[in-house]
Amino acid sequence: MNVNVREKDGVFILDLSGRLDINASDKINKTVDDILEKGGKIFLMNFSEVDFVSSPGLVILVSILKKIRKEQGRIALFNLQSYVREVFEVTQLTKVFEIFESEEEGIKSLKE
Amino acid sequence: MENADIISYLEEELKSPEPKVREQTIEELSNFTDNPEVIKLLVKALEDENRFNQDLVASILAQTYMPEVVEYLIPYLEYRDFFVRNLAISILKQIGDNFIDILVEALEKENNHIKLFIIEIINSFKNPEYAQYLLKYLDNDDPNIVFAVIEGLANLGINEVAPELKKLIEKTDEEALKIAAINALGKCGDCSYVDFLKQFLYSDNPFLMFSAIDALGFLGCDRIVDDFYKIFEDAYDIIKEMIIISLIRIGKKNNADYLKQFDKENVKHILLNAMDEDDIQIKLYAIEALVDYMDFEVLDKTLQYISENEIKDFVNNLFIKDRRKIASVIKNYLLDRTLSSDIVYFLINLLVDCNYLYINEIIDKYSDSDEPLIKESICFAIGKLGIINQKTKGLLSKFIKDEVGNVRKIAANAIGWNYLEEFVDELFALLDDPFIDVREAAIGALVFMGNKKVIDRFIELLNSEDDNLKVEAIKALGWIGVRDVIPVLEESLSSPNREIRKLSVEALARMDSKESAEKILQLLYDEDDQIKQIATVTLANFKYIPAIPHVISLLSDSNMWVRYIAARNLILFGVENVEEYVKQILASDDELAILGVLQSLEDENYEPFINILLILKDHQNSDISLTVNNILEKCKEKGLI
Repeated sequence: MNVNVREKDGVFILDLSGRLDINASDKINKTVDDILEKGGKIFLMNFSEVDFVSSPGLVILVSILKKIRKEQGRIALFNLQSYVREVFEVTQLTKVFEIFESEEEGIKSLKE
Repeated sequence: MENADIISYLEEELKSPEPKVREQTIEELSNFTDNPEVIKLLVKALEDENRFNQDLVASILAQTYMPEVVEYLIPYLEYRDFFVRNLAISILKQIGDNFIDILVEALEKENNHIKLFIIEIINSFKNPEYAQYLLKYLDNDDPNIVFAVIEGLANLGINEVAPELKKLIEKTDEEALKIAAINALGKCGDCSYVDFLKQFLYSDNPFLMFSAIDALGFLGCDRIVDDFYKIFEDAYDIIKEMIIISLIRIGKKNNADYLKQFDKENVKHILLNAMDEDDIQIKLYAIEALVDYMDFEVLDKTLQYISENEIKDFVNNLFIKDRRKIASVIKNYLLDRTLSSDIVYFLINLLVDCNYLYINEIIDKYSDSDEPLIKESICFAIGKLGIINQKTKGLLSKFIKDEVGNVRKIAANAIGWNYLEEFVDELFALLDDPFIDVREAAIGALVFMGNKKVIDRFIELLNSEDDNLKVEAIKALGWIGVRDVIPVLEESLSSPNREIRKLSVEALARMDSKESAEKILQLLYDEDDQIKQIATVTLANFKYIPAIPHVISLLSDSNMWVRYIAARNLILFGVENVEEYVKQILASDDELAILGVLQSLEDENYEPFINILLILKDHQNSDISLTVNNILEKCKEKGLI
């Protein structure tokens, strides 16, 4: 999995690409830790290039959510592909994560 | 039977003494709403003595975008039964904007009673273009009509109407109208109206004074601030409250603090007093002012003024300002009061929404409640906020066996989201739950965990007698998507159950399990055509070269879609591996296969096929010739031909 980071209006946008499974853990955790260390608290994850999420991938995401929340931060996801959205629906994580259709929508809501 | 005969028959049926017959007739009539006669009948049916039938008619009419609906409904705006009248108003609010001309015409023609409701309906559209229709009635003889117009103009908040409002304030002797117009001018005017409104600050009439302060606060111009200071000391308490609120508003607009010269405790005291006013609007203004100006802690004190009925308004108004700080106020409210279950549910969910983690005391207070709504909200809070400790685990073990399905469902969610492995047995037990939502939540939780123990238990289920359970198990294993499940999925490719074979190959495809290709190959000869197609796409995506001759053999399959998918995906194996086969298809008579191949050709792989494409450009099948010509255009652009 590749993770690129951009910053827009104080929101850290993580462009993810590839498969979100156990192998993605180190990379994604390190990226989030680095941002938190620098004081970043608002995260928006771009899922447009993520074509697969396994159970461990979901666990990674939830642990990141808890980590960010502990720092009084917020995290949201956007642009979920149909299969990935299905996985979120099956596990009902749609109720745990804020999920948006687009980057603009996500930024607007996170900035409120 | 002609339509006209059917309608006559239905007209008779509408007179039936049986409400059920009339209901069915109304439903029948809804099939003919393009007929004005039918609309007339339906509008008349609003008078039905059965409330359910009246509602049914209203919902049909509200979706009937015909001018006749508006025309026939207008007389009902003065119907003797207020229920029917309200239905007519509500239908017109829903569809009237499409037929504004009819409403405007009626506004001119009809009596004052109907006029009043039409203005109310036009106001509801909140369209600035309609201000022109409203302004005509600003000098109407009936003060109720003028009042409705002012209200509509204030809601529009457009500057163009301000001169007319000013004229009205100058002209009218009606105090209530003057007050309403002053308020509206605050919403529609600009700083050029400050001097005009200022005169009312020194009026003997405290009501006029109050509305002028309110309006000047809305205008937000700082040159009125000194006048506010001047009148403050001798003003009534309620006027003082409004001055403070307006000074905060003006300060906000000008990025300044005009309350500096007041003692902060005094301001706080005044605003808290404002909370005691009966007028909910003043109360909300005061809360807003407190939030804007004061430390949030002061909000706790405001709670004593907020009744259970007002709490939803309170939080909805303030929530947008600072979710986290509002949360601590809500928490105290929940702890201090005895509240109905729906308010507790609403407030706890709100705390969860703002990710407020400090809710242990709330869980303690409400954990013994028997109210399903409260149990649901506590479960949701524990799950979503991840409040996991001995106490909450104990609650979850109780809730997962609760008699209410929804509580069990949310408990399952909470267990999954927090990876509470010790509840795996309870989750598997829920797979037999009578409620589908509960079963789905349990599967979701188990999929989320997806560990060895869970995988083994799902594999055990594959040996179950129950086919549905087997399907659920294979589905779950697919969702889990870790390498440990690959051997089980591969084995399931030869299951006698079609659904299991299909789900297995789909899961292996998603997992990109290229090592399973040889086993998937057998599915190209499956008895099920859809499975053949999924296997074809999967193997082509895997670029599994040994599959090529098998996919080629599918080009002679009896099912045309199997042939099409085989042709459509062949190119994915790589042009160099399938070039000759592709040429053979393009030269064949199988038009669907030709089309499949053409649709798969990408920019980078036109070249080997240009000669044959040139032959196909005049193909008798227009879909083929069109696609070929599009490709040839692109070839031309790239200088290939």
